[in-house]
This record gives sequence, structure tokens and C-alpha cells, in this order.
Amino acid sequence: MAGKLERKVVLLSGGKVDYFAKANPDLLFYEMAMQATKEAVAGIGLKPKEFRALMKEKGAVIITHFADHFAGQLLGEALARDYIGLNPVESYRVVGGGCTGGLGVQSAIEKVASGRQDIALAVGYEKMSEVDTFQGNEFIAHASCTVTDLPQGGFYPLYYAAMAQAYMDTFVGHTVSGEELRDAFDKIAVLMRNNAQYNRRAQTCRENPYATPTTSGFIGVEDVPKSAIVATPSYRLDCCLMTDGASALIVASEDLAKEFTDQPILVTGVGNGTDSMRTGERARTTGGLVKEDLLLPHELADPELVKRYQTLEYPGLHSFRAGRWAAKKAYAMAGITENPLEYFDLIEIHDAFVISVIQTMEDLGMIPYGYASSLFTGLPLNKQGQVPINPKIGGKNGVYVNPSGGLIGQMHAVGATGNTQAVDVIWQMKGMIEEKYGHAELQIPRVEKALFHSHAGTGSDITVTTVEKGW
Amino acid sequence: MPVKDTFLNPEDKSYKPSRHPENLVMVEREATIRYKKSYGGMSAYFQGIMEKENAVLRYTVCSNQDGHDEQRVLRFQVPRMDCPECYEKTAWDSLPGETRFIVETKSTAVNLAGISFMDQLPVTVAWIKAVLPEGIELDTLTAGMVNLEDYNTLAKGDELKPVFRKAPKASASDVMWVPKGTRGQKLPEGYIPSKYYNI
Repeated sequence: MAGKLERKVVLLSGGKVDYFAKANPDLLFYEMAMQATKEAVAGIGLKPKEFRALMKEKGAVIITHFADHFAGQLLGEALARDYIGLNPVESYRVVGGGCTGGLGVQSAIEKVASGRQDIALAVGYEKMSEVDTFQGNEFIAHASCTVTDLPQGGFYPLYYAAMAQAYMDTFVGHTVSGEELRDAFDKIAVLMRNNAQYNRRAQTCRENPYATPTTSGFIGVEDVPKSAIVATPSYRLDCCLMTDGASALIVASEDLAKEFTDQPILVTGVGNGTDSMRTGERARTTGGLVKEDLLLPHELADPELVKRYQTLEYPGLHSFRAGRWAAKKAYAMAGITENPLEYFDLIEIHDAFVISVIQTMEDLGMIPYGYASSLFTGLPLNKQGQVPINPKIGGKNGVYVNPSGGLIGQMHAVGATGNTQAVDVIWQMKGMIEEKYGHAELQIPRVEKALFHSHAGTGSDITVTTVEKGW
Repeated sequence: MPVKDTFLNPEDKSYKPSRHPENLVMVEREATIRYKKSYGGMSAYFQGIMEKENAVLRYTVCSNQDGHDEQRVLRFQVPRMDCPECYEKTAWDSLPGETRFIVETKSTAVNLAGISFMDQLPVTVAWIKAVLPEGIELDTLTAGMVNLEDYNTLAKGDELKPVFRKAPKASASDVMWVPKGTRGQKLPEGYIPSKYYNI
């Protein structure tokens, strides 16, 4: 049964730090939160004093950050809230691994949808640079079971590489060849990094170890294998970034939103799915998609596909049941019954690794399980081995995927990532990309319907949120 | 004392120092945390893998089939004291020597890792399926480090055998895995076979 929002909620405005960076030693974490909030508040045309007065009258603050140990600060959310002058407004922290920001955004939506408040600010931040990369990897690996998994080589890129291997073992030779899958991985890595070169705030636009005087930061597919294996079979360029940054989002009830905009972006669906934290405890059920009633309406209308799924072990280690669950719930709430590849104009998804893009496109029902690489292998290459900037994925009726550059190209300041995706969707739908990114190349001509997707762990917590233009 | 804004790790070339170093004060802060970590109800598992040449791999079973989604017995390794489906207490059992341990998936960290493993690379981890002599699979996979001469040779379906730390540390890494047929001199340093599991 589809859930519902008790009243309509509008994504009003968004803001980010001036730039995402591997390290931003010039700003404390709450100073980054202030930068992002300031831009979001400016976006609704209020002075800070007016905004704070409105928040005190009818607002709430949801603050998200992933790991206390990155900044070495417990209760950092209180410091962030203090710093943006919002005491004594009701507020709490929401956390859920890499999905932290996505959960925070959904909590803000629910604050308003429930009627408890009329406006909510969702601020996410993370400062990951105050420890070195090996220590940071270790901290992130603490989001695996510290009793059983962390002592056994605990390292997230390895977990995802193992899932990439599982995907290969499941589908290569059946729905895709090994060469096609690697080709898709390479093109996804290039797509995200090169999109980000047109996003002036993106981490890789400013700091790109792969930039040369002749490439200006753009990479080609031949650069991916040259970047060296991190964990078999994944290369360094297959992996997302670690970032210092913050993003903020303001949501409001439809009635209140009318005071600030004639371009309301309406939330149509929210979904949140979960799965086991220990990767090895994922269900491996033959026909699991069918048995657990996880098929989407457009899939149920295809008897051949249903027949195939009756023999597919699911989710196994190759797919994210949490993502499918979240998508199914969000689509049901939004009344989406057609193929989401054709339904949506834009999606911002959690591309922690290139394999995540393949897995997520399938979990979102954009294409049958095992076939997502075909969405990317057809992308043409120029002489430099580069795919087109911000191509539509899946043909004429397809969808734009991560024009921002995603986690691989733009940022992954964990507690802010889900917020950032929502902000990118707002800016796209309102036609603000040239103003915000500094380039017009990533502006999608007409975005009527969009989706953003946030993801934790090896698929333990996933959110899907759908929106549409209300004008 | 203040420190300069430079790399914490000189190899970490992505770090860009401050744009305004003249206005910035930075300081190093050490944080050492000592936990007294309890394994609680899972302790019997750790007791089992700490028994050196007598080590056993223990798992838990819930036979309350009526309370389970698919009306069948559930077997857990990593062991659970409480069944997640019927909430009844599970029972302990040991994996017999004839149990087959099969690679379900794997990866090898080659160039990056967490700080605990940065000096041990390459590190191979496999997700391992245990198949009881009667052909029944445990319902969960266990993750474990695999000692190999050439990590490229390991594939899904390969059979592994457990070996155990000669001087146990009460860590999940007290059990490690080697390909079936590995000879004594090729065992990982500090690990020995158990009499219960022929390698």
C-alpha cells in the first residue's frame, strides 16, 4: 500500500558551500554550514533576520553529518545550529551512513507534511580532511560490523569491488559481456568527472590529480585503467571522492511556499528501504524479486521479464534490495506506473562507485536487472576518449543522470551528499545552472519530473525522493 | 603548538593547503581510544576460533520453522543469539569437518586500505558460503581474509579451508582462509590448521 504525505510539500531553495574540496582548512564545519544556509535563505528572498523569525514561528531544523570522529566533535549539530542563529527552534540530527543527507531531506519533508511545522531547513555537512586518507578509510570502514567485518580487511572500496565481482559472476555471459561491462564502467567514470568540469563548485573542477596542461581536467576512458587498481576489479577512477563541504535545503508547505515562489517544486513520493548491514547476510533468494513483491508496475506488465525474475537470485551481492524497496514505495506514493527511464527527465543518484550506477539504474527499474551497462556502452567517444558532456542516458526518451558530476565528480562530503543532490535538482528545475555552476552546458532544457537517491553502507539504507514541477 | 598546513600524509597529494595560510592557525590533536569490547552472546563463537589446533567454527540454528517466513530451519554464521524472524533463542552447533567452504565473491585491496591494513597490502577478502555435509547451506555468508600466492587465481566457486591463529587475539581475524590443498609451508604466518578441518 502506498504511503502518503498529509499535505503538499515544496522544495523551495537550496545552497552549497562556495566550493567542495578534498580539504577546506579555511572553514570550520559550521562555517561551511553557514555558507550553504546563507545561499539557501537568499534564494527565498528573505533577510537572515526575517528567515530566523519565520523559523522561530513555524520552522524546524534537521542537521545531518555522518561521523563524529571525522571532525572529532560530538553533538556537532548543536554547534551548527547555534552558528546559524536558529536556537531555540526545534531541531535534531538524522544519521544513516552515506544516506545521512537523503534521510535528513526526507525528515524535513515529513516535518512539514505532518503539519508539525510549515517550513524546515535541512543542513548537511562533513569535514573529512582533518585525518589523512588511510585514517579516513578506516573511519568509513567503521560503518561495517566492527566485530566481524572490520577486522577482516575492512575497506569500503573493497566491499564495492566484491559486489562488482558478484555482479560480473551473476550477469556476465548471460546479459552482458565482460568487455561491455568494463566499457560501461569506464564511460560512467568519464561521464561523472567530465560533467563536473562544468560545475565550478565541484571538487574535481578545482582539484584534479588527473588534469594535465592539455586536458584541462577532462579525462578519457584510457585514463581509467591507468589510475591503478584500488581493489580488484575496481580502479581508482571508479571510486567517489572524499570531501569537505556542506549543503542546505529549505522546504515548506504549499501554502507558505506561495509567499516565496511562483515556481514550486512539489514532492510527489518518498521511499526509504533497508537491508542487512553485513553484506554477507543479504538474502540470496531464488526469485526474490517476485516472492517479496518487489516488482514495479511496468515490470509486472511484462510476463517474459517476470518469468526471468522467477529464477534470478535476489538481491544476492549484486543488487540493492533497499534501493528497490525505496523506489517502489516512492513510485507508489507518486502514482508512477510507467517505465521510470521514460517518466523522469533527471535523476541525481548516489554513484559511490561506477558499479553503484549500474546497480542503482536496475534497482530504480530503469532497465531490467543485468542490462544497465547497455545504457552507457552506446555513448559515443571523441578522439580523446571522452563521452559527450551531460548526455541523455537511454536514448531519446531516456533520462539525464548526475549532470552535477555526482559523488565521483562533484563531491561526497557524506552528511551533505543527499542534501546536495536535492539542491542540484532544484537548480536544474528552476533553470539556475549557469548562475550556480558558472556554465550553461549542464542545464537540462526542460525538467518536469526528477528523482534523487541517497545510499548508505553496502546498501543498508537507501532513500528515493521524487518531485515534479508545480508550474 | 601550532602546526603548518601541510599534508598529514606526504603521499596524500590531493590535500590542498589553505588559501590564506597567513591567517590560519592549525594544531595537531591526538585521540587515543581504548575500548574494552565485549562479544556478549557471541563469545562462544570467539571461544571456538581461539582454540588453536582444536579450533571450531560455531554457528547458531533456529528450528522454530512455523515462526519463519519460509517455514524452514535457519542457520546463522555470523552467529545470532536471537532469531530475527521468530525472536526465539537460537541453539549453538559446530560446523563439522566435512563442511565445504565455497567462495561466493571476493576482492583484493591492492593500493588503498584502512590504516589497519595499509602495511599488509594486498589484502584479499572473500564472502564464503558454508555447505554442511548433508548439502544444506547456511543462510548467511561469512567474510574472511584469504591467504593466497596470487590473488588473481581466486574465483567464485573455489573451495577454501579455515586456519586459526596460533596466538589468538580474540578477533574475527583469528580465523583466516586458504585454498583447499594448501600445504603447511604456505600457510599464513602465525596460523595453523585445526584438527577438525583438514586443509
